Amino acid sequence: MSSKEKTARSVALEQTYVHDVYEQLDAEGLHNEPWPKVEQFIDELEPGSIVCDIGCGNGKYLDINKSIFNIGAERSFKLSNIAREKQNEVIILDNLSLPFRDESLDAVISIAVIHHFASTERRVCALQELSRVLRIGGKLIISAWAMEQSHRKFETQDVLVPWHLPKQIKNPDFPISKDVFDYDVLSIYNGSYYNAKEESNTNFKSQKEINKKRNKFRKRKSLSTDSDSLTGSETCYSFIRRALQKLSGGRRLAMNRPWFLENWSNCTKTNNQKKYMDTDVCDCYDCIENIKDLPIELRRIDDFDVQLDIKFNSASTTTMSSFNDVSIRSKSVSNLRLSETECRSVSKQSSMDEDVKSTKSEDVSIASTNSLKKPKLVKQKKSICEDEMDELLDEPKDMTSSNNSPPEYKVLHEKYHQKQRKSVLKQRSLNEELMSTDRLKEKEQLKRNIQKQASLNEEYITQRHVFDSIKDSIFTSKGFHFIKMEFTNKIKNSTTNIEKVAGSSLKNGFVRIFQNWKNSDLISPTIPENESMDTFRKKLPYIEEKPNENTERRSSKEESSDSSKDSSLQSDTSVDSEDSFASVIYVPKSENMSPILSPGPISPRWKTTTAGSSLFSSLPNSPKIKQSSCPTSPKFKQLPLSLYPLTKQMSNPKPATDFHFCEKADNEFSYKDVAPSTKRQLNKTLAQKYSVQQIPKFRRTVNNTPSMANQAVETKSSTSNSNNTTTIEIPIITQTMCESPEPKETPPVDSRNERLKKIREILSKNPNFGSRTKDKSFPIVRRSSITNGKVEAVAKPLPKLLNLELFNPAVDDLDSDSSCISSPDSISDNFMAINCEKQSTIGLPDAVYGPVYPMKKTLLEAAADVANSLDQTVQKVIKYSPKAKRKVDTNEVMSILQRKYVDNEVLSESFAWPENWNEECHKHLTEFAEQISEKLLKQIDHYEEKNEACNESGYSDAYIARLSEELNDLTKISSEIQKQNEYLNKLSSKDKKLMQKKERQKKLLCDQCDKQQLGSTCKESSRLENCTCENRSQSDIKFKSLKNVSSDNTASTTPSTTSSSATLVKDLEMKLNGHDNISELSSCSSNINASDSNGFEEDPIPLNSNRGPRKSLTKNGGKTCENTNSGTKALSTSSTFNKSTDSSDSIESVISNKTGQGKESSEETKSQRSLDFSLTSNEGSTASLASNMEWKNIKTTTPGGGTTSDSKKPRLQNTKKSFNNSSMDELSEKLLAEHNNEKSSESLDSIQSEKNSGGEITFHRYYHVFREGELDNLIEKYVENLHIISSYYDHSSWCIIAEKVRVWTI
Amino acid sequence: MKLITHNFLSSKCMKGVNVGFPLKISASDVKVTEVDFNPEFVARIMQKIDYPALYTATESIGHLEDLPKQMVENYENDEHFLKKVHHALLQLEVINGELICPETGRKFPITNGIPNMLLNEDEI
Repeated sequence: MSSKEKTARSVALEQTYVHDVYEQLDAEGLHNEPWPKVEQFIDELEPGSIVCDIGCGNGKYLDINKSIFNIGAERSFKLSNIAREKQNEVIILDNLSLPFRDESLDAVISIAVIHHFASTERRVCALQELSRVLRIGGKLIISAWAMEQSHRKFETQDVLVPWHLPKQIKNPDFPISKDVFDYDVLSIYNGSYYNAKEESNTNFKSQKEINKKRNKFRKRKSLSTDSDSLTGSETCYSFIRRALQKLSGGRRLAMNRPWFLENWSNCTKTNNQKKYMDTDVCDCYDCIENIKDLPIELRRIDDFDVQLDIKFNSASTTTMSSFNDVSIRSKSVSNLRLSETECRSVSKQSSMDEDVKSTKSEDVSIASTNSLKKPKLVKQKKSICEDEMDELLDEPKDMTSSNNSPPEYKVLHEKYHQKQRKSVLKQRSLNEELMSTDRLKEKEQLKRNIQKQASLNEEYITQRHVFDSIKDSIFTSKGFHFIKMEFTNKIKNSTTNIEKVAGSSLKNGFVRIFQNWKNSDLISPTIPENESMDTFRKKLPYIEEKPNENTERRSSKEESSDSSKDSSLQSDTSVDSEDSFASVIYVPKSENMSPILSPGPISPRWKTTTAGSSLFSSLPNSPKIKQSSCPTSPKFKQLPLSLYPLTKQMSNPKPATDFHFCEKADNEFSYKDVAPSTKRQLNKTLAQKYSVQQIPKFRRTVNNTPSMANQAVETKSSTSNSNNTTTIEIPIITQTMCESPEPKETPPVDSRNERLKKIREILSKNPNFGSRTKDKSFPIVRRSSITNGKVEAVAKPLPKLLNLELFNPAVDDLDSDSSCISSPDSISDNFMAINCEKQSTIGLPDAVYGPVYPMKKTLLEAAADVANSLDQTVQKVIKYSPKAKRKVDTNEVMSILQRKYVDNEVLSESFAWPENWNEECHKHLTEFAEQISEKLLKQIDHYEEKNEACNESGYSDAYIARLSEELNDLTKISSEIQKQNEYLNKLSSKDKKLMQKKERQKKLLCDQCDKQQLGSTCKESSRLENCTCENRSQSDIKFKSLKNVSSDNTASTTPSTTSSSATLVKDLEMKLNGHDNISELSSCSSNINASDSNGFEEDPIPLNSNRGPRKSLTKNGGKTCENTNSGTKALSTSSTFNKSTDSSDSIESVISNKTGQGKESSEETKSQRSLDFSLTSNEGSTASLASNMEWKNIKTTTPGGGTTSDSKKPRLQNTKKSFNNSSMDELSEKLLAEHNNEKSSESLDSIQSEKNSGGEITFHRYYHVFREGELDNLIEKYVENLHIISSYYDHSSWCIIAEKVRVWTI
Repeated sequence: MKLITHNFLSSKCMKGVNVGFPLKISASDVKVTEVDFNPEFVARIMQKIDYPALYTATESIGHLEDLPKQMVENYENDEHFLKKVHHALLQLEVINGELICPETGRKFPITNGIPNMLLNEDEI
């Protein structure tokens, strides 16, 4: 290493850890009490002496002796100014280049300066400079920190000492210091300290590292605590590995020589160093008290003769000053001998530990004894070490991607277990010098395995071809029904007794159900049953991760396993063995991968197989569902776009097929083929089907239902209570509530039924099957599932289907996207899918429930109640359902209502089918259906009445008056808005683009207000904003009066809207008229829709009014926030609304346009929002879609609650009220959360904010602590003309008083 | 920066500078502060002062007043002279200005009475 590099490094180090630190510290940071001995030294100077205090700090030694002339010299501007303020003569200078004449000063004071130089060279230079400016006979006092201090021990001489405030230095509680320690080390290692001119920057970085560090810390703690019985080889390993990786990476960047590699290679040799370590370590135990203010040790920063090198050993790097680290080291030392001897004889784990420790200790020892080493030797070692290094680095990767276990695909879990073990072995082997041969072998194996895996999938699929259909039918039907039953039971319980359910989260319920199912159905012998619960729990996170990964399943699993080995282990097994319910739950996500892997083979295969039978024609749909759902979700997560259109189309055709499916089995295929057709066609067909054929569809289902009924009876059978049968349907409803796949569900059921039929035909011979079908008892179902276990191996794909349908709700909570995915079948879903795709996750779930909701209102309500008591996430999902009301097309409302009844009828009919099987069951079913229909009728009537009442009362409401006022003030508002625009322009000069957008929108809005004429897009945007306003107002009103809201809105809005609508664009007018007409004609739901639509139309006015004053005044940040948030929601709602209207009109082009517009408007709104944020500075960016989504959910829920409040049962109403309240609370919470989030996000950007939020910053100063006599030696050796008068220890420092003498050189 | 300080300053540590003394003063703001006169102190300091440098410095900042160009003999007892020197050395303060290296012309800024004598890495 060249001297230049050394000096550069030293300079950088000093700059960062000395100069910059002092520059940021205030006077308080300096020890203010002058040292008596220094005072004495100063006092004893002759009067009239010219004394320069180099490194005067705040100038505390400058006024001790009045009879001398003191010149304070300081490098820090801040400190020099402080000293200057005390009327001292101050110079800014550098000790290395003192700007004084030679031999001009009578005395020089250098207190606590020399130890800040990062290299001996520079220390010597500083001393020489001090001597140079000193006159002959002049006196010099030097003090430097001592390595041997009473209250702290330094492992090395070069340390970074944390510095809060002088008081706290000895305080053991340093909250931040630890982290900063770690950070400092890391930063240095990454070579960032060169760039880290400002502590703040470094701190920023530290935030990221902290977590890792803490983990390490914990691990280390654990290690230290049970150091005697260390079994955590993995932790140890991972710890080491991470450290190595980081260090190596940093090392390469910053330093040429891999220091720790040498140490590594030396592991086996150096006994001397170990001994050294022993001595060193012993002290460390005493340091417990001072752990936290222990300095960061920079090893080998200055090897005097060797090289200037900043070095950390691995141990010290990770935790430099942590006691845990020390303990580890100590332990390693103690075990060193043992480790060497035992390494091979003892269990590998222990050896691993020992090795790790030994290596660590080696590092430490080497570092501590660094001075003993010679650079050349080190370099020689380096090459070897580097190779090893690379290997080591590669190791972890290999392990991650490695699968050493024999590749038996069907026993995946086993495989993974083995793999796990293998990885462990590797880890162990790491430390032993296993190397090239083994590793090569392993690599080859890995490659092979990977290939095998890839091929395995195909094989697996192909092999299963025959069984798939059967399996599908059986498993889907079985599991499905089972789940249904459980679900229904749950729902019943919940509806009847919500409080009970409230305690347990929905998820738990699901889990339980699944567990039961799994236990019952558990087929694969390999999977232990007890695993289920734990695996399930552990799976959750794991699966959550999955959606993000589009890569192969294997790889993802491996990664996950690598990251979290324990959990991944179990999760892997469970996931692979789809038998377990837990796996089923998550499957949807995992499926995302599977379809990608083998989408082609499955669908065509099924086609071929099912070609003969029309019944099976439905089957292809299911795979399509998978695919569609899968791609959609990934799409949201930015999967390849190529999949995107396909998925859309796929999802669209499916419902169509479902509807027509009974009519023409062949049509399905045609639809499939048509699938690639454009959206418009699909939409058309959908619309047609939706409006016209909805009813027939259900009838079809009825026709098909025989199979379904069979299934139901078969699987669930037994109980045969009307409740049960009803429950079968109910679960669907509930599911729809949660997921919205209701329509979807029925078709799959049909398909399953058909499949079942076929299966019966084919497998009628199978005794188990027969028994199962005829078994009516619940437990029997389990048995049947068990029997299925034989076929079990094939079961995988089908459960996936089930998963998609059933568990999306849970998944939905995690990913809003999945909900959209899950419901491709429903017409509304189709629309939504489009919306979703275009809006990108904003409006997904809203429309989904549209058609479904009216049908099963009561059920929905009940479900909503249940949901209320359930987890938040579940709540969100359910919240969408009430909102669906709005989204129902007004045109279709009537049809929907009809459908309701039809549905009931259908239900009754479908249940009637079971008559053959069980008359009682049929009875119950019919009764139940009748009850339902009655309830529905009652509810509808009730609702109508309420609406009317609301309408009447609504006019008198203050809200309406306010609205009218706002209308009147419209012109004013517009002007205000213009002003605002200007203001905004000024304020948000930062984001010009955003500003421009904003301006555009604003102008549009103004035009709107003034002219009442809206371009389509303009109108859209305004609508959205208005929606925001509207929603906001609605929510407010609802908080006040729950039920009046919708009616009020409709009443108030309608006139204005109608008036304004006259000039609106054709489409818009059509929409409006249609809505108005519908509202007039239809009852509750139509009213709701109309109100919504009207609200949308009317929005511009209130929005503008609200927005203008708020913005200009910036009164309520919170309100603006809410508005903005609601704006997003309004976006979604409006878009959905548009969609629905369009669909009703069956204008495909309009739809596309609308969607596009909606998108644009959404973007605009976003920009607006951001602008608002800039204005109010309360809100951050729109980036947080999740929060917005939540907001939307809340909003939707609030109106939904209001609407649903019409429900007959008082209890329900109460619950709804509570629901509303909860939603309110949620709103506030969300607001706060958003604020916080934004704050945090902003804080990330700005260091200052981080300072504010992050708390106190710990500064680290670099010290070279001097050993006893070191300073004396330096002076004697390099500064010849200084004669040491006295040398003493004072204030943890070595002090030297020297006199300059004339040296005669002969 | 008092002129006494200036009297000890040098740019010698700069690369290529042999003497670097005395630094020229380009003062934009000079402040006169009252300092207690201690003839013994001044007399002692005078032993260490480069008087010509002091003279030029005082001259350069326009506060020469009647400071003799040549140091007076037996100044220890010449209180009048010592007072003048006292004024020049201790009471004249350059608050803002520049110190200019006589050889390289390198300028060292004086701000708030603090001369910044820091050098860049390449100047050492």
